Amino acid sequence: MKNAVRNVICGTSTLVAVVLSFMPVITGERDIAISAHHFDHAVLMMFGAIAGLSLYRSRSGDFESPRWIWPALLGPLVAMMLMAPGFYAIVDRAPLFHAFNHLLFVVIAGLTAYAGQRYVSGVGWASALMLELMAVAAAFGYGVAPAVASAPTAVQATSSVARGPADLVHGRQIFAQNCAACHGAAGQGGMGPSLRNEHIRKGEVAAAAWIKKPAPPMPALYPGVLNEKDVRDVAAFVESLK
Amino acid sequence: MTDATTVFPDRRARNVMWAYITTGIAIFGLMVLVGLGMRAEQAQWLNYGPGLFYSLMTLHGAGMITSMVLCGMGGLWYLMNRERAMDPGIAWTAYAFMTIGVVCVIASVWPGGFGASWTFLYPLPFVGATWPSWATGAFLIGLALIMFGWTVWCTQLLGCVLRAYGGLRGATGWDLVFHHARFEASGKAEPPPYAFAALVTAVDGLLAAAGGMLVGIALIVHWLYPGVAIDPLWAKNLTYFFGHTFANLTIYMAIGLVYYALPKYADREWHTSAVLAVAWWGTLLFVAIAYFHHLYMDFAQPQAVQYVGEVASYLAAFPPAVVTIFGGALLVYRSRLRWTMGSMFMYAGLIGWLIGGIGALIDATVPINVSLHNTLWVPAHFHTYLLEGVALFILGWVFWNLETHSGLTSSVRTRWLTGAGIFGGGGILLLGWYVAGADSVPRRYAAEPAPGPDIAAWASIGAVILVIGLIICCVEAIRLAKSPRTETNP
Amino acid sequence: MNSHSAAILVGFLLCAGAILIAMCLIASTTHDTTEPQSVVQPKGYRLRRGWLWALAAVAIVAFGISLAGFPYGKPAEADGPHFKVFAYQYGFQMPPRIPVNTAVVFDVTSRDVNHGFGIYDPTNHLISQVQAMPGYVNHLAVTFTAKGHYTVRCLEYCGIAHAAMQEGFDVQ
Repeated sequence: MKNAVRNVICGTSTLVAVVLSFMPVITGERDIAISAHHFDHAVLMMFGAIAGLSLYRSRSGDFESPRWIWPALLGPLVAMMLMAPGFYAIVDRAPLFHAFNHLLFVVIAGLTAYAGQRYVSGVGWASALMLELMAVAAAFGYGVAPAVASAPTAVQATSSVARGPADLVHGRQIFAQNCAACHGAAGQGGMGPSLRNEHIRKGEVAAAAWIKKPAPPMPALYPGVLNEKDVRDVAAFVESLK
Repeated sequence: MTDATTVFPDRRARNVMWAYITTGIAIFGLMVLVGLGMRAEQAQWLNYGPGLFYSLMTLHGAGMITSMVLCGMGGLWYLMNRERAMDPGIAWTAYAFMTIGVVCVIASVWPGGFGASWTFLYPLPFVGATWPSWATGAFLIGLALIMFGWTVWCTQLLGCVLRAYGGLRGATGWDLVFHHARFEASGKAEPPPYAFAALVTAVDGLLAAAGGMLVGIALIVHWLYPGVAIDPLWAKNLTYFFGHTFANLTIYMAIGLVYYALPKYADREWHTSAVLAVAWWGTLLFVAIAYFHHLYMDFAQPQAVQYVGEVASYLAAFPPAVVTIFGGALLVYRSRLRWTMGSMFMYAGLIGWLIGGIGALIDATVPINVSLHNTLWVPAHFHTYLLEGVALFILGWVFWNLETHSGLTSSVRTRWLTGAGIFGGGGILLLGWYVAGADSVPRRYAAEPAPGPDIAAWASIGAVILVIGLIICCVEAIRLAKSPRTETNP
Repeated sequence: MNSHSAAILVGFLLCAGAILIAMCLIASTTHDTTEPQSVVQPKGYRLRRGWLWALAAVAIVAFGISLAGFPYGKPAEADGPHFKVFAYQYGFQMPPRIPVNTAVVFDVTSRDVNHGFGIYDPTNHLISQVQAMPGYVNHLAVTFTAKGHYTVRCLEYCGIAHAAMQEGFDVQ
């Protein structure tokens, strides 16, 4: 490819990349969806990579320039780490900082592509492609929560207020359905500890509190699976285990 | 007296190769014992509980794949270095990153107790964890380091392949296939078969690394800032794209070594034809898009990719079945093949690969997957072509080197004993998984429902026999290694 | 083991056996007549073409037949009863009774990590499954033709009590 053409491509890409980097300053837009933001970065990095690739003048002969492999590979890693939220909080406060952050992405992409080509001619394309694919792929789920089609709610629509004495029969049922798997059918233990004579270790109030807010690996079944009455009844049942 | 550099002019390259391979084999040996411990727990011979079981399972998966990857890396690097010299410093740096990563992963499991399995399916490493948070970080960082080392190595290998054959056009054999007459007239040599293995490994390896790095870094960021949202379906896709491709590449790396050594045993030639080139183009594409078969039971996926998954899985079987394994059998047919430990392992590996492939194709058929997904059929088929495929190719390569350097071979008795142990014991072990899987016994159960434990008992006996075979093999390898070197250099 | 699974297992073992025998026979040819590669190769390549076409035929037929059994479709909008299933560490919250001979749809989701909703029939055979994912609802269409007590097991590794995570329901 003629040098003149190369220069034009390099210059144009750099110019476009710089202008796009300053979009936060130009438009003042703040609230942008995270996936759209990832695509923005991908576009920036694409222009940066084009600039870097076109900057490289191919040498004749068989070259492996070992030192250049490191900037080619570290570029994508650094770019990903720059996406950590802590860093963004600093950057998002001022559009100018945001613009410089974008410029950094452009520089990283350009350096990755150029360094790859300097390492071995042809590798720059591979490095740039890797970087671009990661940037685009990130838009589909990094920093993006799934659209919850239906918020999980408890199937049981029973009363959630605990009134009157605890129902030990109901408690036994709840225990069999939810606790026996780990604590054993008779509370003798298994994966979870034995609950025999639990009343010595925890009173009923403490037991109910633990069921509501356990420490892992015991799962938190309240309020998703058990309601107030369930907790009260099963706590009373556990207390009755000898 | 000749000095070492004239007798072994590529001593530096051999040092790189042996470092990778001995580390890989050491990890492999340890992971075999971990695997035996797992099967013994399922057989109810041992009773150390699910906490330790799942930590061991995590270690076993990560360790086995990494061990086979390291061995393949070492062998392929050595072979490609003969084609076009590469800077050993980069290979050593990649090795260092991977070794440090391995140490981090081991530390996360012991003493950390990390047990989210090597597929670290988000959000599992973070929810309901019975291990401390630092163990999660250690595992993720360890895997990231392993992936980075892998990326370094793939990049160097890609550079080597591009330099050696004139860019991507030469490395893919484009002109050999489409402009055959012109190619012949040019007098250029086509890339040897193992160069195709190197190209596909480098390209698909970089793609897998990109996917793995992205989800790995995302999880590390989530570990540091739990408020960062991650879409679990996105994470699942990336995890399986990385995992499937990475694990399958161990086979394609190791077969490169077989392409080199098996013909030498048979005193024949494995040459590059247009058919071989096209076959590897197929592998390049199909290995990368077959991963959708891990998400058949995820109805949230776009429907189209489920069809892509089955088609790509079926097509991925063609290059190995039609070109490589058939080619290997044809190479051996009515040849003067010298049967040694090396050739025995390489040939047996072809059998294991093909049989495992049948098991895989069955599971890759969606209506059958409904009743086999996440049952023991899954470890059945992948152990077939990892244990009785890749591992055998690697052992074959090791013995090829030891036999050539010592000028010695093993006795018929040693070969039969080793074979009985590794193929016989291994066969029983594998059969246990196939039968249990067909009988709907789920996988990744520390305590299996009936008839799991009874089958596991038989399988454990098979595993013990396998271990005995491996020990005999190991003793024989040491005997060959300790013998004084001859002047020959393969 | 039911007949379907037995058929699959036997089919697989027959293939594996055939491969083993064929490869051992080929290996044994190294002990008798030796032929030069230039003679063996052309014969082999002709055979390879046949092998390729045979494999392609099997693959196309298998793919075609398999299409009929793909479980995807539009069960989300299907008529008939829908039953919500919530998977969590470590159990399933779901209705205890399901009607027989009715096309039902399970709307499966997870409260925490990835789980697997695996339905085992009264003979302890896995008949249907779907992934239970946090933030997504997967719709599994099933028609139960046999009454009895069914078991649901978790089929996606989900933590320390994965093996104990199960629930029962009755088809009546």
